[in-house]
Amino acid sequence: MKRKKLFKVLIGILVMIIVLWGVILYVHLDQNTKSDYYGMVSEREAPEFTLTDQDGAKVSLSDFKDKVVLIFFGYTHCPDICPMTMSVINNVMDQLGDQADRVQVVFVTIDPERDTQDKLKSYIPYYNENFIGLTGTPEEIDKVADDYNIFYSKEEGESSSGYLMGHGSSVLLITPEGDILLRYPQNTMDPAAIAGDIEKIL
Amino acid sequence: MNKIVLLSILFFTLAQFSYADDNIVINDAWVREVPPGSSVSSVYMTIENKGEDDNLVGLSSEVAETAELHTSKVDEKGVATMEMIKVLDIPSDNTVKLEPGGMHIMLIDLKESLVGKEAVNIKLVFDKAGIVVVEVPVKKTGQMDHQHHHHH
Repeated sequence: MKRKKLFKVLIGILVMIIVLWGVILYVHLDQNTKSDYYGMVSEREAPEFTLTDQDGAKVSLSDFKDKVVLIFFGYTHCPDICPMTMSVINNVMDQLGDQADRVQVVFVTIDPERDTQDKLKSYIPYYNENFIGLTGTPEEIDKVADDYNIFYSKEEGESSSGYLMGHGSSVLLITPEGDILLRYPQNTMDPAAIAGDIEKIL
Repeated sequence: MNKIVLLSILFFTLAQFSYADDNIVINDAWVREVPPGSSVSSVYMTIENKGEDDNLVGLSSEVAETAELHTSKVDEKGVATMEMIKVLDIPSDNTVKLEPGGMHIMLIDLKESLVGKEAVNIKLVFDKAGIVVVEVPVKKTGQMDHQHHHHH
């Protein structure tokens, strides 16, 4: 008899937990759908930087004050993820048409040892003449990557490619006001949807 | 009569010769056109094994010093890395996909620019099926990529 009562109480508690869990989940989902953007919202101020572009000019984030900046970190010895990202962003620019003039794409190398200014000069304009490729001293790159929470490391494995890099591969969107508003991880890179986000911001 | 014997010998010789190609079927192959001066590129394709269990054990191409099988991985923090796969098992009646953001053949130390090139030859070496040479068309980056992305 006592056991039955205990059992009922336990069932009751279980039901309450499930209901509570459902409510929490619902509220959480509801909050998530409130974002009008395709990208993941990560509002914070974009740290200022100054690096060297493919033509040898010093470039700072503050040079693009009235533009949306799409920034990502990669390296030219990267055969798969980086060219893929480049082509997705190029596609975004195509979809934006005239509005592409108000977007600056910035590629920052995390492999300054091999990605010299000359190397970037032959790499970046191939994808798009308006893209900017940035390099610097290892210390400069280290600081920018750190400021932007971009992890990177040299991976010396068995491959004959010398070395490969592990690197943060998300594309970040910086608003004309200088905030990192959106983040696009590799699995959310639909060019039309990214272009849609940019149109909303501009 | 002689003709028939000759023809059947020819037929069986050819059949023997193309044995490897019959069991290993390569589809949707393309190599990424990369900027001039690039030292690396990647090759994508599907490999269907219609024969017995097999392994892909070697790769080479006339346009690169080395060719290796790699797989791209992106962890939950968004960090992308690559891992080398020395031997790829392809069980009987299975198809493996080499696609952007996943498994790919990495061409290392390109000997010539791929820009403007129509196609390159890729040699695949299988344990059982032997050597399979595929002519792989060069595609400009951007023609092939976005369709592979998963939508959430």
